[in-house]
Amino acid sequence: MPDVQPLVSDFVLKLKRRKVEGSHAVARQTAELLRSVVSQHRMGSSANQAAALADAVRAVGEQLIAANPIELAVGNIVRRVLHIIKEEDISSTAVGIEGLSVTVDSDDEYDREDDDRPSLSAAVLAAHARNALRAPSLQTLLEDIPVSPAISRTASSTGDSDGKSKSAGDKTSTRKLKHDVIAAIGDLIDEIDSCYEPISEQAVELIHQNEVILTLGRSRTVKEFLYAAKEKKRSFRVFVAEGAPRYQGHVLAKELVEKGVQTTVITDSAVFAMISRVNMVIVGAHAVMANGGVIAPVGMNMVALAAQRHAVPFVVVAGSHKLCPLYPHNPEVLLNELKSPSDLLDFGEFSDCMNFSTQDGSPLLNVVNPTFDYVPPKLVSLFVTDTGGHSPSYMYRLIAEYYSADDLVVRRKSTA
Amino acid sequence: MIPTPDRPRPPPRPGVRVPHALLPRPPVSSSRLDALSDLDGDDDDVDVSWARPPPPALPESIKVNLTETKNRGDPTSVPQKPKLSKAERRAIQEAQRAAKAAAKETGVKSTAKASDVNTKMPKQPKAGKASLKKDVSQANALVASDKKTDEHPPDKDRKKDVPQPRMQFDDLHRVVKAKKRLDFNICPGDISGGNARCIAMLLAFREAINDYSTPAEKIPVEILLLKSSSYVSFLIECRPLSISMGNAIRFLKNRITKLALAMSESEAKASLQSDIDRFINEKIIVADKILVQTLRDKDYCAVLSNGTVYSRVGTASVAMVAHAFGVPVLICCEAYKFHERVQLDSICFNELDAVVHVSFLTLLIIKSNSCTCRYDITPSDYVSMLITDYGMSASPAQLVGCTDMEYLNHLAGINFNFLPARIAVLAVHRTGSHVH
Repeated sequence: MPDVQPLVSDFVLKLKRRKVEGSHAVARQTAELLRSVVSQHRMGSSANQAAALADAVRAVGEQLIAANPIELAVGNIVRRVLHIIKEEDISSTAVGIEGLSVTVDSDDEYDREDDDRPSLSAAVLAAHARNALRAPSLQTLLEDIPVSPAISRTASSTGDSDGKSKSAGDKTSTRKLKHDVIAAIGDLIDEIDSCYEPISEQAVELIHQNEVILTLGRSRTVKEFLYAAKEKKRSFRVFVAEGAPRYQGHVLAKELVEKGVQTTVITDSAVFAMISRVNMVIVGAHAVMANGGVIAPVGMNMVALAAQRHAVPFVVVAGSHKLCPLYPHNPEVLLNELKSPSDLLDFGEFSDCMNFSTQDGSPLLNVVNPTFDYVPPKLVSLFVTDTGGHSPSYMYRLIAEYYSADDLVVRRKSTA
Repeated sequence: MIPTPDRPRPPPRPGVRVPHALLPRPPVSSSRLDALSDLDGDDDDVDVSWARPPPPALPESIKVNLTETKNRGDPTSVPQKPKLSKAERRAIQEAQRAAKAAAKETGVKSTAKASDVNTKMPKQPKAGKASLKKDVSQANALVASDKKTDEHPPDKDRKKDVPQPRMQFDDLHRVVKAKKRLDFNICPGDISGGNARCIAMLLAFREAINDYSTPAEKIPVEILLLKSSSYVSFLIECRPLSISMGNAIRFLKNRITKLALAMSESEAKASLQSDIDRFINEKIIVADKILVQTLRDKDYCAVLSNGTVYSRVGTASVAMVAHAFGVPVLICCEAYKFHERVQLDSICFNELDAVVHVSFLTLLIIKSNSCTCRYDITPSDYVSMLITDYGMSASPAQLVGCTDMEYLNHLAGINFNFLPARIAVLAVHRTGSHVH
């Protein structure tokens, strides 16, 4: 794909230099880039088209993930696109093997619907995909016997079984696959853009009257969440912990005051003191892991512990593009990133301390400035995502819907 | 440091003396302290003391000389009042203060140097203001001025007139402020740290006792108690007492009540002053030495009756996270900071602190809506071990409960040298066993 390579290199450079930061912006730009990649990809022979397309996406995705490993949203979107390709492939294959399912004696609703219509609705497609990806179980065996074995076969073999429409269908199926994938990626981009609305709609269910809410740092999702509650005339006041060393809490406090929300800025160290008077803690996240653990700005673990101690609900609001299929113990996952110590110490004052060293040459003064904190799932009460409210133990189900198991490691498969 | 309108002047750094002439003149009336005294310069009563010409041996004068001077000087001082004009009085006042400040600063060292404090405290010179009053109110005025040990209260939430009377009598408290350890930029109080505040307060009391002289017809004990109550209420108005200060005041009142009626005034004063000296020495300075394992900044740390630790904000967060990761938390606290109060959360009893790190523009926009506590509560289950000068215990609540609170208050008749015995007795604690 020579046409799209400059775009890819450009984005890789932006990621490396941290010119684009924040899960939302990164996710959106990654999705757009992958859409370009897919549209520029030249589909080869009909055999394994989907696999070739997926391979192309994997090649680009590997570069993007390596550029900024801590930005998990990149990997999330890459895996989503791979899953989309797989799903679209399955749905087009399912169209192809429509005929097969007629012969099977089945009470399944979905199969009957497939008989009626040549073009399948999105829900049916999704159901097919889910059925196909489900692990073998009694239900799978009873319902989907013809479908599962068909998936493992290549498109050509299924085309053979049908025969008549296959030769004409090859070209259309190629274009259809690409078209469907691009459309689905477009849906994904829309979903990323509009993730705030479904989350904000749940604000009225959680915030009642005379609530005292605590948050740390600045999260756009939390801001939209609180705005929505304010629109619906809920009465609440907010304690904003400033979130050292970036002090983004000050910015959030300003924004909330502009909307007329009663806001109080407190230091991070005062959280334990104030949390006894707080009804609810609502925070944003950098990423949500497969076990329900949260990677959040530094200081969040302390807030979560304090909330647990005082039996205050700890609510994490996050769009679905932040949901990562990896577990925290996975060696691919970098849980943290250390930033420059200049945020903490003024070099002018401490430059003389940096000179002294011990016998083995290491400095006596070390400054550690981590960006993120890991919050274990047992401290989180509720996840509010654009698909609704979930408990931490449910997150693996969402992951099964959005991602495929063999995409966990994004590595280019060897070309045949 | 963000300049705030409440402060008419920047604070002096330790050891730096601002010439008195540069300081702004305080307003004429100060409603707050009217109960205690007339602070406008018009009242002759206030200026009587300052009007006295300084004795020749002023900077090196020792306690005994001054006590004698004071005792003798009462009846003779009065006729001199009308003769000096206000300007002359002020001039003399300034000269005396400057001389006194110079002498004080050499005499008073920071709390860190225990031996220095011990040896130099008896040599506190008396400025010529060792004059005598006719009535208690005048004594109150003078010593209230001496006693301005308190740091400048936090800007946001103090009435405006509290700093102003302080301006008038800043020499002495600036001298006492020579003990302060932290720069003003770091904390709003000029004297910060429970120990420093307590020592400063006790030294001021000591001076008050020195300067005080009983009118012939009154009983020293009553007067002293009355005065100490008024001083304490003044102190509380400036800033809420720390727990160590509360304990110290209780100790002092106890000592006053235990004074034998038959004692002469000078004996009573000497006894009280030596009590104060010993208190400072044994409770604070020696206790610091005994606590060899100092793992955390002992800026301010008190332990309440239910084992809760009351200390600077942020301590609770650190203890909580350490506990969550299985890191032991050791609290080092002098025993005189134990308190029989109980507290469940940090909000019921606290002080406000200045908000730092907020840009001025942001502060305007969020309309100064920030709330920063100065202290917070660490629950006892986060504390692995409490280490005091009396021993260590894995159960802070029990240690506090078993420590003889009575001892802290009633020291009559008890030899101060019992301390080593106490440690031996409580060596049992170190094995980790609980006291029953």
